[in-house]
Amino acid sequence: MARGKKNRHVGIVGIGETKFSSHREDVNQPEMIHEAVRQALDDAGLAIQDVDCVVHGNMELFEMVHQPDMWHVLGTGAYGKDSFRITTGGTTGGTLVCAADNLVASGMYDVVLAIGFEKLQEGHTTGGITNMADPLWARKLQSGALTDSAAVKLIEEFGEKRAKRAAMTYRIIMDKHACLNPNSHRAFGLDWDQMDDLITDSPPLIGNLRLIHMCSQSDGACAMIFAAEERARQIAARPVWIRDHITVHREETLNLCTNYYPNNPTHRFAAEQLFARNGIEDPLDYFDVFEMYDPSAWWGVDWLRDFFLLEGDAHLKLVEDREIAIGGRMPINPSGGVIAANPIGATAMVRVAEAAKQIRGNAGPHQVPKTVRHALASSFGGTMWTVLLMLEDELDGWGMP
Amino acid sequence: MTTYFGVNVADVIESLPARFRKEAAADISGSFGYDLGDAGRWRLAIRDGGLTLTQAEVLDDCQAVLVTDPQTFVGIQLGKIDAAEAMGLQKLSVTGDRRAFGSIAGLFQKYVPSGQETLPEVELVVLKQTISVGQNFATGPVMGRFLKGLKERKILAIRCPVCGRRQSPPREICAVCRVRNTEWVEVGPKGEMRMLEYVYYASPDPLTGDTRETPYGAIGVLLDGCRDEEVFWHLLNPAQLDRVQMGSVINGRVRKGSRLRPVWAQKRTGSIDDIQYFELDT
Repeated sequence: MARGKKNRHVGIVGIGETKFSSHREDVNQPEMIHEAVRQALDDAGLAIQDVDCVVHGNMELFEMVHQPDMWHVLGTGAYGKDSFRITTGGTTGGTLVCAADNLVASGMYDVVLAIGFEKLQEGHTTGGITNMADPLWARKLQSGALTDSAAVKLIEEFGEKRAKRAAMTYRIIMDKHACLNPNSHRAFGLDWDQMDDLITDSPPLIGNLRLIHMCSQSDGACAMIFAAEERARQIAARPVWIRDHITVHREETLNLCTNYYPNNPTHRFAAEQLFARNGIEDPLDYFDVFEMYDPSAWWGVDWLRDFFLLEGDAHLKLVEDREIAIGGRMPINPSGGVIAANPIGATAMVRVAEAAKQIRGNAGPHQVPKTVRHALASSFGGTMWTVLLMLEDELDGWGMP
Repeated sequence: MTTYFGVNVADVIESLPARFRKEAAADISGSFGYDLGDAGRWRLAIRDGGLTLTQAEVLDDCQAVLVTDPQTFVGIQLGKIDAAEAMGLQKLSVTGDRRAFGSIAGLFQKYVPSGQETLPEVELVVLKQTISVGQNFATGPVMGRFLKGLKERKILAIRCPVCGRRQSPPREICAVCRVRNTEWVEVGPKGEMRMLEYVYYASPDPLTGDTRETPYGAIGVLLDGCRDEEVFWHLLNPAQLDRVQMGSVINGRVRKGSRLRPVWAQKRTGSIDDIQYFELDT
């Protein structure tokens, strides 16, 4: 695949995230979005007049409001500006970042504001996702975003006991991270002595996928400001640079209700392409932190293998040895990840925002206790899509293509 | 003292008298306890519309005692943790008279961390709306031919002229090879079960709007004549959910799944419902 060529470098200069929660009945949609926009502008030290273009995104099926960017202009500040709308399912937030990056890198705009949001309490999440399936066949069969497939595969390959413990270990680590993040929607305070009870007692959703494994439905918004290199250096003391990103989807994946591996999943394909064209041989060694779009603990465990191009049970060992915890070898989701908060149209952008904050060193109580120079962020959604992004703290050492 | 979610446990407890709503306590009388383990124990004595809060070693004399850890306690106060969910996770329990404890829930104003006070609460109006839309989807000549096949109790697949893979339901092109699919083949109708989604969660059926009966099984069937990932996505007879075996091919290791056959609907209209479900072929 051709390397993503950039006309000029793009830096992240402003980040805003609302508090995530199950209910934001205290504000309407534009008001909630405005909270994130205000925060991002303040973070960058900019006024809305400094923004050239606004990119807006969410999934219309959830709130059933079409062209919500029209109504939301009250909160986005896009009045009188060039504006685009993105809606690519769960990946929306990642695609928003890719689009903003492309718009700035191309030279079209110097400063772009991207906004992802969702107010899932205002609609029906599983109903919305089910209507994503093709209406000629799959609608009747689709059960929202819920699936047992990762659990089936892990149990088949590694045995029931080991697989279940790995998934719950992952879940407890994510909860421990969520407890550190003041923005978390769900933070239970789970501990290791609850492992066996949770494995057997949490209510089942599908097969071995239980309520405790699965992400929530959240309300919230995320806003990020992107600027061309020269402007970025003027605006921010420490811009975070977007090195490269890749988007992969596979047309028929949703129909593949099967128990077949290896089957060239999009995550692995994306990781192989992205790392190869950037000369990264050992991603586990190269990256300092990974914010992964992990809708469930089962997927989280399974996907580690794909994203880090691991073989055998290396991904299970990372989890079992707790190397994915905030102080471990490869911290995964210091923010708590998607299981801690999932305002879908914002979720994937939050991954990038959190990864960028880790590089800036101001993530808050969930800052990784080591220098973070290279960060990875993933998005997942739609009919099985991957967006994978690489962030850097310096422009030196990897160069312009 | 340790803080949780940026809030000190003592602040939450010590602000109880200030948050006490006298007017709501007229009919309540009794002693209630908070047992937060190492963080401490407190007794709330409510009498004649007044509250006396004391730290206590033992709470045996209380009508009801809430037992939890300080993190869960603060989380619930801040709305970060759902009390029912915490109970389900065995992070919280009430000993003694549960109902009596429930009666004191409304006696206190909501705890707001200092610095986060907002304007006095105003009534928030939420508008309830329901959208119901009738839809008609054109199927096109390729999907249309497949659906017509179902009427005749045939499952058709379409084959890629380059890579040879079969797709059923059929697609106009092979998106991997980027060529038009041209060759029709009949597959199945029997096959091997490769994947079972054993669904407990009652999601809505978008075709009818009705909530689905649970549990039910969504399955991937490898129809006879197909290979590898060429599965057919449909439903399993719900009465046989616990009797079927999933087959798999993991890293070349093959395990055979149950043999299945379709159960055709009496009246077939050219839709997914022409097959009621698959059942064990015994």
